This record gives sequence, structure tokens and C-alpha cells, in this order.
Amino acid sequence: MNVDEALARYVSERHHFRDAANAIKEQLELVAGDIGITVVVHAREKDPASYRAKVADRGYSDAWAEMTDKAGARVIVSGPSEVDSFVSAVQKSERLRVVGQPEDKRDVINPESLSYSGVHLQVIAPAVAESQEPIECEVQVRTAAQDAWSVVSHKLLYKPVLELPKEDQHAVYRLVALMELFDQEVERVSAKLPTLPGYEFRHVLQAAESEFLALAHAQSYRSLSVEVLGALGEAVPRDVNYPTQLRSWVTANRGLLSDAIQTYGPHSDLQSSYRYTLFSQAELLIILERLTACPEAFTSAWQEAGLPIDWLRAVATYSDADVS
Amino acid sequence: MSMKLLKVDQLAIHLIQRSTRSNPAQPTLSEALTELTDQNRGFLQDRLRETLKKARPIIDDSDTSSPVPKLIRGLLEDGDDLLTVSRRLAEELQSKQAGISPSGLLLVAEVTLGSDSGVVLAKWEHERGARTEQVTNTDGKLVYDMQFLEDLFMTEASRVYKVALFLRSEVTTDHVEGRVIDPQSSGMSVAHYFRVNFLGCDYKVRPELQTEQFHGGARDFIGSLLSPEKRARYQVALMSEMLSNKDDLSVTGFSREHLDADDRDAFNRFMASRSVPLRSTIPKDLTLVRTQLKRMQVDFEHGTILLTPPDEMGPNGHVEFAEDNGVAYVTITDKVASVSGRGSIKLDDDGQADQT
Repeated sequence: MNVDEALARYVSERHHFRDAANAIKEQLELVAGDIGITVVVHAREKDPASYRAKVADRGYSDAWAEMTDKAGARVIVSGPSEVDSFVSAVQKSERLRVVGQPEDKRDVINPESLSYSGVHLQVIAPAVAESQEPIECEVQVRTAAQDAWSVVSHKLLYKPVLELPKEDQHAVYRLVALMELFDQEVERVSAKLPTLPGYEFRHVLQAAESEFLALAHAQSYRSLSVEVLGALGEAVPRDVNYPTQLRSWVTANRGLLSDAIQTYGPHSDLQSSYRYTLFSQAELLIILERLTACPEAFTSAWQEAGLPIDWLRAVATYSDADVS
Repeated sequence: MSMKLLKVDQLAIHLIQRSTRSNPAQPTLSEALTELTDQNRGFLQDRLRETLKKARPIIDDSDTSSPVPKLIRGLLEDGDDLLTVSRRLAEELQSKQAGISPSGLLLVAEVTLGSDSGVVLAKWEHERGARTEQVTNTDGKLVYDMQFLEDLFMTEASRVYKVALFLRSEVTTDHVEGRVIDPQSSGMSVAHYFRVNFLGCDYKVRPELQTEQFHGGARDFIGSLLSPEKRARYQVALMSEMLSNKDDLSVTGFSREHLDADDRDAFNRFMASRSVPLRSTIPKDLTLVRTQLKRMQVDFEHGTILLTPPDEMGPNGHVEFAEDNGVAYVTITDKVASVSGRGSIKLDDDGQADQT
């Protein structure tokens, strides 16, 4: 198919590629959720002008079949190891079908040059209608630093109004070194996180803090939260699904929680009372949810942890649990 | 019934005096409602919610001479004035209180529980305590001064109170129903003067039926467990609980005292599904279960039946259970007194000994 035919077909079917890009974005975000990492996903269908330019640039003999990135997505993760874990998760997941092998642009081909890195995958978008031809999309997985360099270099090196002098082109490529150092530092610091107190329940605490902030309009003391949750050990679930469960429970009990925080929380007349300490803390939500889900096991864990029983008794008045 | 939505709207407090037969006293009555700050309201709600979780259902006795059910009906149905009714309630409590009963405060509160309205009647006795404050003494040195206090009440560890709650939805044409708690007492005879003489009520559910429900529910739960060792251990605990000198049975109390931590929530849920009250205590009455408590029977998969007095089981008796990979090992350390034939053992389709 020549470029004019391909472009005409693309323009008439462009909305299918837009839908495919959106569907891919949704599935990629779900894959990230499955492995408990936070990603930013941008997805879109190809601009017709870019389509024509790319055919001309690459000299495709079949301008329809060889254009494999009519729809595409870019997934931005925090550090280099998350690139690998995300790509691996996409390959293993049943959410998307991967075509071929990933193209790893991080491989050092020429040790004397610096260039773009990232991992590219080809996936098939979930079918919107049975009759529709499968739509293949390109997924680029990058770190935040790789993405920053890629965006800037694209503007300066590949799409300049004027061609940069050689020393300035060199300066842009030199930024790749900074990008690699940036990623190395992110990886080094990230590797320390698992050794810090509270790491094992960070997702849970993060969910509780954001929900608490919305209810109380006040921050709680994280160091106290870490102390309380750390003491409770396995009585606080640490699996990746628990934050979702906690958020659902908070949504279902918002009225009750608002009353508790309004009466005893950070802006109440009782906020300085020792007995009501937990009403100014994000872990209040976790404790009440646990007192509802498994009151005896949680009360037993609380007592074994040696935490103040008065704190639990005060919170338990907003549950049916008997903690006496 | 869940108490987590309980809110206090208005409050009247009166002082009930200690009196003797020879020198009857009158209550010291308030002339206005007590002003409730957010702080006091929050604290009072906290104490009432915690306390009322364990309250037991009561119902007015149609033969009672107490005017309280009628006064409650007036408050909840006719919108009678809280202060006026509460003063009348204080006079009634003062007259029904035995001479040896200590003085205390009568709290009468208009409350809401979700969309329902209600009234709380609580007698809280005074407690003694002390407070300290750092001061400078006459020599100019910092010391802690100690002050003895006799007029504390509603302290967090207090057990000297009686609380009743009556809800509008539980007042019918024929009856006034509510719930009452008295943590200081136990068993059937608790605070008779408060529940029967003053409130004019009695427990709604017969204790012998609740005792049977408790025993049956616990026995079925234990029977559903996979581990023979656990079944034996818990069964011994159940027998021991039923035959102990305790006046009350408590689902959560039993689970905490006798069950492994990871079985407690399942046990409580099972008992709740059998309508056995979880938080309130059950006055123990063995009338309907006495025959089931004389012998404990253990059935084995291949037809062996072990019958033993409950106190023979466990480390203090002559029959001990152990478990390894789901297989039970029973050790009987005793002298054989006699051996006799008892006919053939019938097995049912599952190979279980037929007990009929």
C-alpha cells in the first residue's frame, strides 16, 4: 500500500487507533497496579502528519503494514529496575498480548557513544469489536530521567528549526551521562528503602494518610504511625490489595469516620486528651477497619504489642468490637 | 445492637443520696439541664457507647409497680419535658435504693442512635482518687503537692455504674423494651433493685434458653474443626466453662480464655450466626443442658467411642489427647476396673458409630 492509500485509510480509521491507545493505557495502569508500582502512562494515536513524515523518512515499501506504531503508549517509571519489572509483568500478564521480543535500547552497542535508552514492546490492543482487525501498538517503557532526555533531545536534535552546531549537539548527548547518573542514584536510594522502618506497610500507610487527610484536613504524625503499625506486625495486612480494601471500607463508612474525627480528632476540643490520641492519626482508619474485619485477632495483637489499651478502647467505641 | 452511632442531645444530672431506713434521704435535684460542651458530650458518648455494647435486653414487667416504664413512654412517645421526668426518676431511684447502696449521680440523657431516638438512665457512683501538681514549697523547693478527691465519676476504669437504654422503636403498645448493663455485678441477681424495683423490667430472654444456645453453638463449632486435638481441648474447655462456679457465660470471654487466637473471630461469627449474644453476658442456667454435661463422648472414625467424665480429660485427669498430622493419640493412664460386652456397635453409612 502506498503512502497516500495508507494515509487515507488511516484517517478514516483513526478513531479505532485512538480507542486502542486508550484501552492500552488502561491495561498498562492495571499491570502496574498488579505489581504495586506507580507509573505515568501517556497514550495516543499517531498524528497524520507524523505518519507521512515517518513513511518518507524510513522509506517503507508497504506504508500500512510496516507502520507498527499507529497507536502507542509511553510508560514512565521511577528507576531502571522498575523498567525491567514492568516489562516482565507485561509479558507475564494476561491483560495484554505481546508480539515478539522487547527491543532493549539500553544495550551498549558502541561504548564510545551515548544515546537514547529505554525498552520498547509491541502489544495487541484489546479488541473493541469482534470484526475489528487486531491493532498493534508500540509501548515505550522508560525511567523519568530517560524520558526527560528523550523529550528534550527530540526537540533539539531531531526536530530543530535550525541544525545545532556540532559542539551543541555534543552537549545534548553529554546529558545522557547525567541521565545515567540520575538513574543510578535513584536505584541506590531505592535499594535502601526496604531497610527503613515502616517499609513493609508503606502502601497501607500511604493509603491511610491520603484518606485521613481528606477526612480530617490535617496531617498525622508519621513517626507515631510507623511505631504503632510496626508494633502490630502481621495484624496489619501488607499485601498489595489491602490499600484498595481499606479505601473501599473508608468510602462505605465515611459518615461514621467523619463523626469520629470531628468529635475527637485534630480540630476537636478533645484532641489533646491522651485517650483520643489515635483520632488524630491516619492509622485510625486501619485500626477501625481491622476491628471490624477480625476484632478478636486484632485485639489480641494489640495487647501482645503492648500498645496503650485505652487508645484501642476509645477507637473501638466506633465499632462493635469488644476490646475490654 | 450496634452503639457506634449513639449521640447525646440533652442531659439532666441529679444526686442520689445515701440513706438509711431510720433516716431516709431525698435526692438533690437539678433545676436545669446540664450544659454540654463538645468536650463533655464527646467524653459522655464515648463512655456510653463502650458501656452499652455489653447491655442485655430487658422488657417491662406488666405487674410492676414502678412508674419508670410509663415515664419512659412519656418521654419517648409524648415528648414530655426531660428535666421534669428526670427529677421524677431521681425521686423514684432514691426511694428504691437500698440503705446500704452508696450515693451517686443519676444521669438522664436524651439520645439518638442513627435515625432512632432514645433515653439513657445511668447511675454512676462517686469514686475516690488523687491528683498531683508541682508547686514551690515554703523553702522555695519544687515538690509535688497531692490532693485527695472524693467526687470523681465516670473514670475510665470505673465499674461502679448501671446504665439502661430505651429506644423509641422498642416502645410498643404493650411493652417498653430496652437494655441494661451493670458491670459491678454478675449473674442473675444483679442489681435487682435497679432492674426490677426501679426500672420495673426483667430480662427479655430466659437464661436457661440462652445457656442451651451457648452450649449448643459452642459444641457445634468445636465439632466442625478439623484438628482432633483442638476438638478435644476445646470440648474439655467448654465442659469446664459450663460446670465452673462462674455465674455468667460470655462468648468473647470464652474465646479469649480457651481458644487459640486464630480461631476466635471464626468462633464469634459462628455464635452470632446462632443468635447467641456476643458482647453481653448470659446468666448461666444449666436446667436444659445438665444431662449433656455428665459424660463427655468422643467418637473416632473407625467406631471406637470414648465416654469419660469431663474432669478426667486433660493434664489433670487420666485421659490425655495429642495430635500428629491429623491423627489423634489418646493416652489413658488408669487401672482397668472391669470389662463387659455391650453388644455390637452399629456403624452408619459414613462409618461413624451410630449413637441412637
